[in-house]
Amino acid sequence: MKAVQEELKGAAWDARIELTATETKELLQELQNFFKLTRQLQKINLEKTPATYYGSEKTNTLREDVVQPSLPLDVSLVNAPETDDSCFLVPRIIEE
Amino acid sequence: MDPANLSVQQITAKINKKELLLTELGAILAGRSKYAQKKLNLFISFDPQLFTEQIKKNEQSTQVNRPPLWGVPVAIADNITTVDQKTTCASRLLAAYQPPFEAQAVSLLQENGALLIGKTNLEEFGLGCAGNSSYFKPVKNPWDIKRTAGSGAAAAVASGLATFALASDVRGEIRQAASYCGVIALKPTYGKIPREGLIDSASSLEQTGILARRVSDLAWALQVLAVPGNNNPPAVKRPLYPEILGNIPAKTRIAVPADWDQAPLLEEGIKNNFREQLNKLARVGLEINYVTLPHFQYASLVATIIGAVEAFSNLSNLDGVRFGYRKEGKHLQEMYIKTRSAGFSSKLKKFLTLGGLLSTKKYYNSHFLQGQKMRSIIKKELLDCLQENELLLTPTTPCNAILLDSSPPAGEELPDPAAYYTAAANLAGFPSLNFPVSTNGLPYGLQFMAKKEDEGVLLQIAFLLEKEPIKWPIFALELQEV
Repeated sequence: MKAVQEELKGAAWDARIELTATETKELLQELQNFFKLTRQLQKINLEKTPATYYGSEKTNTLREDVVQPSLPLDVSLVNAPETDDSCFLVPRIIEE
Repeated sequence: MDPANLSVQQITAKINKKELLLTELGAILAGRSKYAQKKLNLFISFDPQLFTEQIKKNEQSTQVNRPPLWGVPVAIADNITTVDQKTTCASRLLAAYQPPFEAQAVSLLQENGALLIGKTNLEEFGLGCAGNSSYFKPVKNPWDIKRTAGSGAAAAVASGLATFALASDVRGEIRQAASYCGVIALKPTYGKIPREGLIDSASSLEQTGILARRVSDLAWALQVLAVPGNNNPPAVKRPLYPEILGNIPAKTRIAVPADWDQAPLLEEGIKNNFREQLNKLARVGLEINYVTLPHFQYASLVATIIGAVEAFSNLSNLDGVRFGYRKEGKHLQEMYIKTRSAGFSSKLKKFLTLGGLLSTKKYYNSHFLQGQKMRSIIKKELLDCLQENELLLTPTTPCNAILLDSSPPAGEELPDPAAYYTAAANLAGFPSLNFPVSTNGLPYGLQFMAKKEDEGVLLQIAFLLEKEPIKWPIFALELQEV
């Protein structure tokens, strides 16, 4: 599981999450059973089976293309942790 | 009769005849809600003033033809958006989030005269039922407060605070919570109830459903909610659900997986009781057919794979920039990581990391794509089975409601054993219903599944079984009588 532990570090970065040592240990334990089951799943030959991505077969159901007013600026900003009059504010983007 | 225990039709009839005042109903529910909240922690938002304002608005209305849910109290899970009350998804990240728009399902309820009693507690982003991830602490079960209720929506219906409730179902959550709390729950066909305004974690699996104590109330709710929405296809011609309840076909065939008793962690009490239930169904003339569904056993695993990858993607916008909680960092990336690490529960952090892992090049084909292909196989097996039979029956959950302080902690296993029977309906997009029965003083449920758009037959079988109502435990009765 050491290799998986390294992979988890990368996956956590992709998810922009930092796992604690305890959380990493717990997840590694949970993954033992998970990978045992997925190995069974991989033994099934599904080469010619198409994938199903949705519960519904309907695609591209479109609503009427009607112009509607945009969300007012004050409503757009009301839930943001930090704003000025018209923008979301964030810390510097360039890392030190 | 306790006015809060009246059915949809009884409430509207009594209000129309002026035998029941909305203020009277409101006062009873407000008192009961306060008591239940203290005992069970089932609400995230309950604003008595807002509730009173809704009652006043209804009372002052001069509308002659009143819509079918006039004065009916309903509860809404806190991952379905409302403009008058915050919508938190039981997450620290959205603990103060005020949505700019209302879910279409909520608008439909209000247009039809329903009164929104409050926003109910749930697992963070509606994932699971174990009572271990809500930022607002777990919901206690009205049958036994040491156990999880699964969701505040189920507890609110079981406690007589709401005639029905809306909540979401990713891998079976509303059916599992209903099984734990002894109420009826319907996860309809994917898209049948508008999904607009549902803050979902796994878009292809998740669907808004209905919990109720009576089949007729559930039928009225479905009647109002199953409409084409802005983002939904035009509804298939639907029956008048409340009017067809007693018309179950004489030769209804019920399929049961021959290996139904092989679920991991299936409790002996449930196993024995389920066998008795099968005998009862046969005695009332229903045909029980044992069938082979070789890949049903993988449904929970596949739904975990798909759910984790979809949640990893769907919840990536919770970064502390445009809404919600923020933990400061020296630069943008550090802020993202600090915000998300402190904002999500441990359980969700691990689940999203799994989603990240399964999205990587190494695992994508072998796990995610393989899972999507297995989804096709499971769906085909179910469809073939439901062409020969009207219904598929299993227990809803392999166990009764989980103890909140169980050791080792329950509900974090991958896949979640509680979703063993329920996840297949989410993978296929088929409707599925929990009907409560009681064993060892605690409820569990019978889960019926039907083919797409066949909610009518699910309501009919539940209506047939409802003639033998569930016996409520003393604590639950106490809550209903406050």
